[in-house]
Amino acid sequence: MAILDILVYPDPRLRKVAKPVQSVDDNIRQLVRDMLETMYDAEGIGLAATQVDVHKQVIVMDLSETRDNPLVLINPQIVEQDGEQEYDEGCLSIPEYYAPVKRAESVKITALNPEGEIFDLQADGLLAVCIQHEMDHLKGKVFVDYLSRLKQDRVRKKLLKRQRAPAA
Amino acid sequence: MARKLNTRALAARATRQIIDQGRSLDAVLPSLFEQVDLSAQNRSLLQELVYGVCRWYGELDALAGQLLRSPIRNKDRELHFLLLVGLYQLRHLDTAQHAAVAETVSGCQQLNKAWAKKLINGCLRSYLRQPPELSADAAHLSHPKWIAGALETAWPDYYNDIVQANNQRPPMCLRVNRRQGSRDQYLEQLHKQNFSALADPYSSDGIVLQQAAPVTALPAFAEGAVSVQDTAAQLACDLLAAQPGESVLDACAAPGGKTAHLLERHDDQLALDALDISARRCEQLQATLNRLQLDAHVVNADAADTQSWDQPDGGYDRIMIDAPCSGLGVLRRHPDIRHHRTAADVDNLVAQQQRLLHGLWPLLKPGGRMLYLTCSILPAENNDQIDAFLASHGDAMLTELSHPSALVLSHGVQTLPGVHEMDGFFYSALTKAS
Repeated sequence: MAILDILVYPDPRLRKVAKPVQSVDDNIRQLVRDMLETMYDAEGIGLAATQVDVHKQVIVMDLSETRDNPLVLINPQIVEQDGEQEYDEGCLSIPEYYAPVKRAESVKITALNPEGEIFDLQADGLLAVCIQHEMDHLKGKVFVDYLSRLKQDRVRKKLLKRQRAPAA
Repeated sequence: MARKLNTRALAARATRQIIDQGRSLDAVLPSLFEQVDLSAQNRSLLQELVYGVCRWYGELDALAGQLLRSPIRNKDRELHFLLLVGLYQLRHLDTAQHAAVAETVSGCQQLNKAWAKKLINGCLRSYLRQPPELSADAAHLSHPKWIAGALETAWPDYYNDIVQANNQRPPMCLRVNRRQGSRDQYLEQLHKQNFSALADPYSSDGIVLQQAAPVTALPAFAEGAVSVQDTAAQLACDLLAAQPGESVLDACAAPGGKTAHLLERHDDQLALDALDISARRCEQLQATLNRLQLDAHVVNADAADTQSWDQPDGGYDRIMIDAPCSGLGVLRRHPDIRHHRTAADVDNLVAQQQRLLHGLWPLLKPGGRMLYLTCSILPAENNDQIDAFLASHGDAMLTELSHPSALVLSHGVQTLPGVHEMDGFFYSALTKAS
């Protein structure tokens, strides 16, 4: 197991589009374990492979308070979505920044689990937000793309400044 | 995705900066809103939590003292404030109990003090099982001792009403810009947009909103149709009683609410000099005038230092001194004041007020009126201040003021929060012998 480096916005590698996983093998299972460890270490609730510079359609999540209820989505697809909700989102690739984003209130998805089996999932509320947020990463999108140009510039400048002079 | 943004943790950080580190609420909240863009819902929750903890700090702190087996160490002071945020919700808000506890406990994580979850959870649950008894009334406890003492001495009959009112959320009061339309017309616009609003019985330009709203939601706010101003501050214009064609000095004008009211009432028929000692606040004043499409001669100067700025030949017909003061009459609107003001500040302010009165009196024309006002309810800044001034100025005569909603004192009129339906202001009018 290993903790992987998380790319920080506006890193251009966050813009790459992830490819579907051809076969769910031991390499993928190793990636899933590393991603979970990385996500827990960063105290996140979701992480897409894109964020650790692996451009395959793999997502890990854990919304539980107790941090012991991981959810793994491989090659996820949204089959239905409904309604609208606004939530103050934050992202491990955009540290210490939150902003409200409007997304579907509920989604129905299909995906593969780490054994390569297909499953359906009906999600609403925060789980639905998190799924949509992570699936955006696989398409090369981040949540600040939904914000005004002004806000995007502000975040970009703030993070570039941080990277030039890392906090002690 | 990063973990959920925890508004309780943000509120704990903000209240610590305000109460422990002496930063002003008006500085802390906007800078927080700049760092994290919050949804409207989280923004208003955060604001409610920060205002509430500042208001009820004394009460919440006393409760925490009883719930904690030993005080939280200074290096974990944010946790102490997180606990107060939790207690505030349980005691004063309608938030569901389980949500209030769960969200507050998970705030430990955002403060990077996950080890404290058990402690915070334990305290909040023990509060729910059996709230500790307080040694005194909660609103009384929520005033620092020196303020409680000063208010009790000054207003023994009204003390309890005053401290209760200081800890309530005040109504949102508006002042209609008469140049753009009548109060009835504006009320009609508000009602059309489903605001619950009433004509203010104590101010002919005033409107009271039943529920606070962001100014940007008010009809034609940006165009200057209306301003936010407490009823008590709206009395200034009538009590100065300026007449068309007169020269007027507004000596401490920023941020410009009362200045603007004078200009709205008198159209362009006043020659108004609006001074303020702070350059930054002069900018606010100018912005206020711009929004309301009003024009005054704005000067950045220390009014009491009359050599440093130019006056019209012969002086002024009217002078308004909206003096720097302790602000103890507006604690309900500015819940941070009680944490920052000290008894020594009051002595300094009394001296500044005296300097303004003495310095500006020579600039008043014979027969002219000087209106002195504060948003304080301490006699030293008010009645006693004018008493002393009259004793040293033989050419100054007290003009009797009266208002249906104010106490008449020997040297002016006073409104009191909780007694009158407005902030606590003092007004005194002095006329110069001809």
